[in-house]
Amino acid sequence: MNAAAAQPSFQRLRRFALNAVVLLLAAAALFWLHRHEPSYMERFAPILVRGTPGEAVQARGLRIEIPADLALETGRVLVTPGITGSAPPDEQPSSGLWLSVPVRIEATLDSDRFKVFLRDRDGREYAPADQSPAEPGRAFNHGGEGGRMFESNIAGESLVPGFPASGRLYFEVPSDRLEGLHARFHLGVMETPNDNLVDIDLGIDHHRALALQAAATPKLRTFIVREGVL
Amino acid sequence: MSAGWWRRQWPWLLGAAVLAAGTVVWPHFDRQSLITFHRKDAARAVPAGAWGRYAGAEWRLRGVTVQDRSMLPRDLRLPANARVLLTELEIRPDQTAIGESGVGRCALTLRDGRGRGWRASPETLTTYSRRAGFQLDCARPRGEPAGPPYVVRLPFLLPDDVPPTDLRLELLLLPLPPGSDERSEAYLDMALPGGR
Repeated sequence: MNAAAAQPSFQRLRRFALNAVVLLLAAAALFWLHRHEPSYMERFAPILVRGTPGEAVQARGLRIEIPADLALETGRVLVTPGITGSAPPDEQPSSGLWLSVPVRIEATLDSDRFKVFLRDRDGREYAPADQSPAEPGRAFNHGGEGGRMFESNIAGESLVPGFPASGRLYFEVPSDRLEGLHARFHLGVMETPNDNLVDIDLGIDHHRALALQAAATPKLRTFIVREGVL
Repeated sequence: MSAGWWRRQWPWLLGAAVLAAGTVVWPHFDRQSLITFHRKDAARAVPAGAWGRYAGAEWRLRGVTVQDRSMLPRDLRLPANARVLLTELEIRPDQTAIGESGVGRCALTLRDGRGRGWRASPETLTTYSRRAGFQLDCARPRGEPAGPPYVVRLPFLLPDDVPPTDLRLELLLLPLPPGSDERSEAYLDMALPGGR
C-alpha cells in the first residue's frame, strides 16, 4: 500500500470518528433533556408569590395584606355564633391552640371565593374554621349581652373587585407547630394550573411562639356584639 | 471540519436547527392552545344597541341603569362605595323542533377598562333580586308564551369608582345548549349605549 492510497482511508476514518462523536453527543443531549424534562406536576405547579406581614402582596387577581399593626391572637376554645340569636354560642375546644390571623383581601380582576390554609415547617397544612351561616347583623341576646352580631371570620368569603374584605381567619394548630408558620392563599375554590399562590411568612420565631402559647385566652370569639342597634 | 464541509451540509444544519427550535416551541403553543376558555380573540363584539348572534339566539343589550340608592331596601347591607346597576337584555331564541333554544344558563360579566369583572346577581343581591322580581338567569320568564323576544333584568354590584361608560357586557352560556355548534370559548362582548 502506498502513501497516496492510505491518505483517503485515514480521512474516511477521521470523518467516521467525528460523526460518531457528534452522534453520541446528540444522543447524550437527548437523554439529558429527557431526564430533565419537567414532570406534569412541575409544569402546572402553582407560582409562589411571597410576602411578609404589613406588606400588600399583589398576585394575579388577588391582593392580600396581613396587617402588621393587628396582632395574632391565640385561644384554647373557639366560640362561634349559635344556631339562633338566643341560643348559647357554640364552643369548640382544642387540644392545641386556635390561632387568629388578621387579613385584608381583595379580588383585583374577577369575583371569586378565596381559599386559605396554614403550612408549618414540615409541610403540614391546616384549614381554617368555617364561617358560621349566621346572617351578619343578626340579633344576639345571651348571657346578659344584647345587640347585633357581626362575625369577624371571613374564611371562604366571596370576593368582589372594588370591595376589600377585612376580618380574621381562625386555625386550629398543635401548640408546638406555631414556629415558622406560613399562610397561603389562592383565588378560587380549586387551584388551577400555574395559579398564583400567595405565601406569607407570619414571622413566628421561637420566642414569639412561646409568647403566643402563654398569651392564649381561654375563649377566642369569632364575633362581636354591637349594643344598642337592635 | 473544513469550510467545505459546512458549505456542503448547510441544508441539513439548517433543517436540524429548525427542528430543534420546533421541539421547544411546538409543545409550548400546544399547551397554550388548550387554554382556550375566554380568550380575547374569541370575543364577538356587538356595537351598542345592536343584535348579536350567539349559541342559537339573538341578544341585544337594551341598557344599563344605575339604581338610585334611596330606592334600594333599607335592610340591604351594602358597602358604602357600592352601586347597584341593572342591565336589561333582550333575547330572541331560535325556534327548534322541540320548542326554542335553551339559553337559560347564561353567565354575564360587566368588565371595565382595567380588566376588572363583576358577575350578575351576586350573593349580596340575591334576596333583593327575588323581592324585586329580577331574574337570576336568562331563561324566559315563567308564564310568557314561547316565540316572541323577551327581556330579562339582572342586577350587578359595582364600586362607585367605575363609570358606566367604561363598561362592556360579556355574555356566555355555561354549558352550551345540547347540539349547539358554537365554539366553547366564544362569547359576546357587548358595548353599552354611550360606552366604549
